[in-house]
Amino acid sequence: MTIAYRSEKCPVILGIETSCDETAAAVVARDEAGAPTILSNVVYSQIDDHAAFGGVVPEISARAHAEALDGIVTAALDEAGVTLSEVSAVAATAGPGLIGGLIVGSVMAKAIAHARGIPFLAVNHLEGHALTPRLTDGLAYPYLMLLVSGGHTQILLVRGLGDYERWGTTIDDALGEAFDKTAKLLGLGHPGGPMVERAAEDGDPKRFSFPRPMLREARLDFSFSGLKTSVRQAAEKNAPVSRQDVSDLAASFQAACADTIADRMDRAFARFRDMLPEIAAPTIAVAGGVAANQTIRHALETAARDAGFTLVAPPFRLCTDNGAMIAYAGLERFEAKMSDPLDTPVRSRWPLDRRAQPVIGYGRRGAKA
Amino acid sequence: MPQSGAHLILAIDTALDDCSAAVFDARANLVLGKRTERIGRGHAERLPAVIDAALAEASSEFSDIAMIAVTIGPGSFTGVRVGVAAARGYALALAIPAIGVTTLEVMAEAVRRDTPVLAVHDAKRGEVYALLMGADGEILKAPEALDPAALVDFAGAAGERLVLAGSASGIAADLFGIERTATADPTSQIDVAVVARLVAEGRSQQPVKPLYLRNADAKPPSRHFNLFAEPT
Repeated sequence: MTIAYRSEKCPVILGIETSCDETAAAVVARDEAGAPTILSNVVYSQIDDHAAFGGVVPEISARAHAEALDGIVTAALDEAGVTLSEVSAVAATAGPGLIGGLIVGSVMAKAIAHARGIPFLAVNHLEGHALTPRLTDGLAYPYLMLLVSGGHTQILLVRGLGDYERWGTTIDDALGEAFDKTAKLLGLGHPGGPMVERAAEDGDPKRFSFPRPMLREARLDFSFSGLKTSVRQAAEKNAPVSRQDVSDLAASFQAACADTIADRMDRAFARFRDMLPEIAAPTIAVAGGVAANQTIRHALETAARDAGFTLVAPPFRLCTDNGAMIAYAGLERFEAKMSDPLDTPVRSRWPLDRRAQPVIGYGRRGAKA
Repeated sequence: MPQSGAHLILAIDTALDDCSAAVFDARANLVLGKRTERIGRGHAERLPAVIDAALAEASSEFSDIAMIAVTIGPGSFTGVRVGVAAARGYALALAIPAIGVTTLEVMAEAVRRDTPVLAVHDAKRGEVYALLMGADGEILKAPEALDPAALVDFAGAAGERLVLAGSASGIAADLFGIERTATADPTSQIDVAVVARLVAEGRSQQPVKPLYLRNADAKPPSRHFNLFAEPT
């Protein structure tokens, strides 16, 4: 397949993602038929660098990004078979995330754009996740989005490019963070999500009755901090814990998370129907690493089916942090004739929905959530 | 000017308080354009405009640039990464090489006459970063993070007659004694023209890799209580 790259019709975007512990770069293009195509998607996970610390250490992450990024960008270009002279614009995650990594990614993206005389696009990481179902499944606006990762837990109405309504968010820990902290507590290691899921396989999800935080509350927000405390208390009460205890704790924790997600999504589905009755066949898309958890995925599938929604889940490697989603968000922005100046700052906090009321931590850097 | 005729060095420094860029003609040994802004923070946002200013003063374009020179530290961790990420980005985009220069050798070279130079920068937390350069410009001791008390040992025989450079030269002057040392202006920072010159003369050939001289602050987690009967 030959594509007339860098024509008006077929822009080619280089995307860079460095907001947490993946150093990632990708090339995404619009092909002549009008479909977005991932030409390359290179992700270097720093997971081993952080394993000893039980979580992501910001300075270690920033150092690893600075070390690896230009090699990852070169690999992405090589794999895509394009040279920078064929690239129409460079997009980079400018927030939210860990500031050290964001600086490395955006500075390199700006340098490339500056030297080549092509536009720079500062992309919101959450927008990358939110638009991924359009890249993978060609979803039309509007649709509902559930983002569940180590850093974010949000329900979004995706109305159009740059037009997002945040319906719910966590008021304390992100869901993936709750998994990580539970894994750490139970001595299961890092990353917590897959470890808890594995431990839960032969556990009894009904043995411990953990709280379903904020169940039956009309607002669509989440809270996982109390759940985490309950797990700790139950563990302490049963200490010393056996392997079976750990499995039962993990399974019961996971069940509480799944019930909470299902309850919140039920309400979101109803609100979507009220607000947009003209959408006959609505869609819920899911993204974020926690979307890979089978118990949560199953709860989500059931809730969506019962509400008449189609569940769209992009492939796992596009659900977790990656450069393709940033390149794709850049592609949509480029096609909408947007670009950002080279003095655009990175932002550790950057809500996708500027109208949303901050739920916690409104400080100098803006709302935490 | 076609790429093949490119012969200029673009030097960048964001490692300390300044955000600087210079365009240097290696053949003529001449600074064609230079911009230094003492901003303390915000290097990442400011750097492209600073480079544009240096290029404009030099009446040059990116296509005239044959090599990137950049300070790689020691300095502010974030500042060092801004410089390294930018240098690697410009080098990648222009398909030209990039060379690293340590901040301390720039400080030393800027004041070197006919004696060895000890460059000492305040590293905070009771430490200094130090480098020793011989009277002929040779690096006698590569950059290290030291307790100031170790500076006299570090300088060795060269400590008999020294020029001190850098923000911690006051501390060093007390240690070596006034009669053995001359002190350069301790408030002066990095002259980005020297960054370019060290690379032009082939004296600095470091890879463009951050020189932190200090590990990241991170401790493995301590378990608050032991849930398990036996260690896991």
